[in-house]
Amino acid sequence: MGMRRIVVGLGNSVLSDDGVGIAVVRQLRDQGWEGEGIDFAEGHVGGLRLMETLAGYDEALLVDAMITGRYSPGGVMRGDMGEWTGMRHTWSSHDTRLSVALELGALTGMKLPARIRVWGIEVKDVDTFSQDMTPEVQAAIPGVVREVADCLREGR
Amino acid sequence: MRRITIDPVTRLEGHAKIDIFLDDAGEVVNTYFQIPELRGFESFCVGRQAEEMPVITNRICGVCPEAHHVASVKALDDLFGVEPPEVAKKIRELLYMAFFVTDHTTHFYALGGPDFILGPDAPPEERNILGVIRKVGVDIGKQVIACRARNHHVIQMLGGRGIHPAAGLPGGWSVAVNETQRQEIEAIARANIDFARFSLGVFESIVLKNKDFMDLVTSDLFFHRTYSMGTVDGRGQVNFYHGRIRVVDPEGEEFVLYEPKHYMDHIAEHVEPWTYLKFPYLKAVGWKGFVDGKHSGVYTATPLSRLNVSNGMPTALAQEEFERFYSAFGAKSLGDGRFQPVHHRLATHWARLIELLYASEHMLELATDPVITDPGVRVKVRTDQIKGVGIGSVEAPRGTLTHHYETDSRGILTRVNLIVGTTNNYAPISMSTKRVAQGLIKKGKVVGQGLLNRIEMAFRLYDPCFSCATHSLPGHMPLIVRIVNAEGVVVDSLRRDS
Repeated sequence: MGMRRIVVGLGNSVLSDDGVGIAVVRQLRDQGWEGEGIDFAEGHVGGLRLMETLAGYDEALLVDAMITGRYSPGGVMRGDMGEWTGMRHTWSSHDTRLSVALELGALTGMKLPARIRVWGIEVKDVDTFSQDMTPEVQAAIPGVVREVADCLREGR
Repeated sequence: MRRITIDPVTRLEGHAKIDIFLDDAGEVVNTYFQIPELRGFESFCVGRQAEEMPVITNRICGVCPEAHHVASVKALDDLFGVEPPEVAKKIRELLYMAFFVTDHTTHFYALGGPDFILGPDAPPEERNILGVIRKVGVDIGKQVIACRARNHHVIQMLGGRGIHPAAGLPGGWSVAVNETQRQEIEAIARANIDFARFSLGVFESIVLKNKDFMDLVTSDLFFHRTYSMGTVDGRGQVNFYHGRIRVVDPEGEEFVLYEPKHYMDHIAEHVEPWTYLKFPYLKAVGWKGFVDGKHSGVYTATPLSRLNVSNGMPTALAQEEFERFYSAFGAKSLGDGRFQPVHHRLATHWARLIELLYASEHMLELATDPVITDPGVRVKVRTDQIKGVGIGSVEAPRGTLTHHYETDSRGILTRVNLIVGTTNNYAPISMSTKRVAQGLIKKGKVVGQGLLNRIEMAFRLYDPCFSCATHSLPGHMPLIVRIVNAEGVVVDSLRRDS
């Protein structure tokens, strides 16, 4: 059996820019990437729940909103999990951080992805209930969709 | 005045800031627990069809979408004037018990428990679920993960989706339970009962048998005499899904028993200039400030208060624990199965585990009820009898949750009001943090980490979830404790990055 991968969009789709990760993943799904060892998921809390979502996969690709103040809205940061602290949804204040959750999963014998790649999109408004994003953040979506699609293509 | 502020409240959904104001003598005069505002929830909803609400409100928060979903379909039953068939109510309850089991389990092992299992003075980086495993063994971690997994599976099976259930409808439920599913859920409920008993055993050996912890539980630092609120069934026993709201006074005397739809006759909201979030209180008693006692309208809605208002638990094993609980605190029997309320706030953790056992036992009752596989899960909703108002309530893990919708004759929303579990407890949470600050700050002197940990313990016991109290889903948002002196200067600021 080939490599199993999961693409997770994190965020809240009814809280303005917070839904950017979900929007990226929905577009990828619409492009028909699902299947052939690739699954999709939408996540709304980090910590234990996110770790449980990632369990069983060889590789995970996460897309999330972030607030660092170091980028303009719509700016994109890429990297591997471990280098990251500023993501909005990898951490659940209701249970624990993703890093703690991953350690828990490993300790209890769960199969967790060898690699977790992440895309963080700097956001502007995450305080207003709306299904619309700010134009800067909306504009960042096609680029991230392309990058994630490229990764998925490489792995095939 | 001096001010203390606490930062990041790790293990707390949402973000918060605590400012502690000191007087000239360096004594605590006020503690402000503040959370950021989120905008536009009501305007987001107004103009939509009311029947969208079960799938909109369950997106408010990633922690308890099930509670919003169920409260919302109950509000729609009321709005459309329709009575769901018995099987539909039982399927809703079944999903809801699975949710309570995961939620209370997670709180105990990941949030509340570490303070006890590792001790209140353990370094913050160790006071998490990994620390629990290091101390109690890796098997406990496996059990927690397995418990979450099997109950998430039930939620997905019944709710149609794993995270945000979609199966609830006005007048019932969208899918029936088949016999294969029923058998699977029955086995899961039995495993939950074993796990709940095991968890109570862990609590007994680590907390109840430890004099230092029991001294902490019963200390003045974590003691408040307020009114208690909870939903009770026809026999006056705990119920999470339906019943009437009972409020008892600090002595345990019944103050009021009302239908959830009459909540506005009994609950009013107080506004403070330093926070946009309102403080609900008992209208008939009145707002007297952040104070304890019978003359103060402050009430609490938590696992502890649910036990305090009830004539007992409706299931056998949970009832045994209920009796043990009140006897451990020397509470006097008030007759009809009820006891004098326990006001030691840290006892809420114990009460939560008793509820965990009840939810597991009730799950088994529902899964073995012959009605549960009945295929008639829904009655038809007529659109020509929309009442214009629909109110639904449940007991959420964090307190009584009320959804209130108003619509025009076509069912288009014109007004939406939610009173969520945590909002009920905003005043008690503020009082508890103040009490701890007062106990640990003397003449302007602060004990560093000890203060921070105990303030966190004071609000964590309420399991506050501000993501829906503020109608938001924040991720990591820091909480800062600042100490402000009599001149308004910040003299100390405690931060903790998670």
